[in-house]
Amino acid sequence: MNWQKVLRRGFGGAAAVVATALLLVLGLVIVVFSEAAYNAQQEREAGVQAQIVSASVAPALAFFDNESAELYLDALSANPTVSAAAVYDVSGTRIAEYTRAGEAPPPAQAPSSAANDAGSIISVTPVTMNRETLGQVYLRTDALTALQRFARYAGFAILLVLASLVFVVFGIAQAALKQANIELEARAAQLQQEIHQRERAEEELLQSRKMEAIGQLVGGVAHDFNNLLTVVLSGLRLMERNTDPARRATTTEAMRQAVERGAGLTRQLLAFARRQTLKPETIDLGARLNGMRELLERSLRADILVDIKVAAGLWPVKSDPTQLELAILNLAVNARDAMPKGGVLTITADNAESERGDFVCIQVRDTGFGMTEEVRRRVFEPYFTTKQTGQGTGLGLAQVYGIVTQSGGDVRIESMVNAGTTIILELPRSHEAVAPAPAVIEHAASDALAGKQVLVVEDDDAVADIVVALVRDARSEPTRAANAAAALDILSSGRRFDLIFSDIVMPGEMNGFELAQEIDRRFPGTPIILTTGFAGSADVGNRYPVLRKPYQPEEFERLVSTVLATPLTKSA
Amino acid sequence: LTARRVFLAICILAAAFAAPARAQTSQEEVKATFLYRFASFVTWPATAFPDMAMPVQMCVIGADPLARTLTRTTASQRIGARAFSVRRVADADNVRGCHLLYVVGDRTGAALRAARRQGILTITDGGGERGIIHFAIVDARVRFYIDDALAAESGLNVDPRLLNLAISVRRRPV
Repeated sequence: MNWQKVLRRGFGGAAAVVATALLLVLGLVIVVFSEAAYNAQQEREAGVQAQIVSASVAPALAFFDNESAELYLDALSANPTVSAAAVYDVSGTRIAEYTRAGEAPPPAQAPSSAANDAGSIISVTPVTMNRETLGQVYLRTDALTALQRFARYAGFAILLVLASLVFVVFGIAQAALKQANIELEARAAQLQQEIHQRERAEEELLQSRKMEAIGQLVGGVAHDFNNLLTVVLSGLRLMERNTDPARRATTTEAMRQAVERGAGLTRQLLAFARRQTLKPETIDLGARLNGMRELLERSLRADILVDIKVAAGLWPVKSDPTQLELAILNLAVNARDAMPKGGVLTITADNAESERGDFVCIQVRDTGFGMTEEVRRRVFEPYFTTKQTGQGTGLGLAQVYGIVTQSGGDVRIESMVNAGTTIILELPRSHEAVAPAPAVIEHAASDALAGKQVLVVEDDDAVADIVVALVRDARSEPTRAANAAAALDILSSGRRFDLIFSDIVMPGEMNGFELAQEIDRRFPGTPIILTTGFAGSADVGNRYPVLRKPYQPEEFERLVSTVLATPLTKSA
Repeated sequence: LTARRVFLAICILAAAFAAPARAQTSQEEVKATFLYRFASFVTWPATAFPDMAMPVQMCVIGADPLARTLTRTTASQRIGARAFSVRRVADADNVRGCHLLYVVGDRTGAALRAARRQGILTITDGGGERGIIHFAIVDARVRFYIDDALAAESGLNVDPRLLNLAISVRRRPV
């Protein structure tokens, strides 16, 4: 960096230059004054010397003793600075002289005035005695030579130069610092701008990815729903045309499966909207996997052989059984799609011990086309898919990752292109006892509602029709209200109900939850069951039983019977 | 005006030195100048000057022309604060009150004896007895001897610078 430029830019530099200049000027002034004072002193000294000589030679002059005068002058040789001296009598004639070797002799006649010439100081002093002028003394002494002068000021000059150097160095340092600061600021501003640009770009990228993902998702969901709607529609048509009970049963089963898949799909979507909380319970994984065999075989194509091997004595794990089954199903569907020309899907479950603890290891292996390293890195990202638009949602493996990690486990992928893929799920071993399988009290509930008054609060007519039909099917008396206000009106009229079954999300000022609170306040002791397809407020379930849509009639009956069988706690 | 006259006289004297041919004629004047100037290099005892206004008294015995020259050249001259006065003295009996005594001729011995221990600076010339200062001609120049021991007897102090100019000095006892 050019230091002059630095000096020009920085205030510190300017200050240093000014300080240095001031110092130099001050030094110069001191030198000039000192020099003048020194010269004056030299002249004074020469004058004193001349006066001493004058006093000394006065008697010699008085008694015309030129030899004595000469002797006095010769004594001046003891002073090396005296280059010449002379004594003149009253007539101006030189009567004695002294000249140092190699110097010019003093003038032969008394000089009229003491004119200093270069390099010497000349003093002319009259010799007097009793106010009588006897003559003159001429004395020439050496002034300082240039070298002597330099030597005299060398120390001072060195100090001055050092001080100036200090100033200059300080100034340069200051200026450099300032320069660095300016550059740093500029760079920081640039960086800030770059960060802004990058943030904007990332935001745009994120937005476009989001749009892409939504498109992918909507496409996938629409595709799946179209498939199952086709099944249901054609099933309905078949049932209308067909009276053979066996064929109708087959058709009903197909329709039921289609609807279940739809339900699974929406559950999956909700899980990804992080709206659905897990309901972990200790499960016997082996039993679950064996129970899935039929489902898997049905879900996959005929050219795919399903092989499930569950090790004996498999440890229980703690997870949401529905989600875990869905995860296995997702993996199976992916495996199917990876094997367009058929193959073998192997699912194994084994106990595994490691330093991190005990795990149950599930391996889902296919013999498909595998995946590249790049794909492998991204597969767990939500909405990432290698399938064509409308073929997949991009949520399958993300769901797998979500359920496994939320259960405290881990997922790994081993894959080679054209050599198949193995997905390894590690779930931590649970030491709790396996929860008893549900559906034990399956049909005890059937009579729970018999002869009861049930208020159904539901804004959607179609859903309301079904619910009313269900309630009526349970041999109880349903009354329908279209919203919370209508429900409160009915209750205010004095009618009492054995159960209130309300949707949560409804138009109007009050939602189902608020309605439930209001009923609790005004008509305490009335059992309430809430239902929703949009489980946004999971905490609702802590206070009121919630039936999540879509539900099976059996689930409805089971919950209703449980609620009616349980005496209400009035403390709430 | 007086200073100028003295200056003139000294110029003349100098001119006389510069011209050796006329040296003989001016030796009297040189001696006169010397006599006057000796007074500046001698310190008398306090008793020699009872009052402040008393002039420095120069007495001359047996050298009337010189006395006249001296009187002429030193008129209204001063030694320090004091006036310089020249008096011709007839004999040794009248040396009382003199500060300097220049004596030549056959009255020298008596005069010296009379002046001894009297605080008088005696100056002699030529052969015979010598006073404290004794003139001599060396290389045609007027020079002098100084008897500092004798000066000490008379209670006089002679400036060492003057002693330095003497041909020889008889030292005073330490």
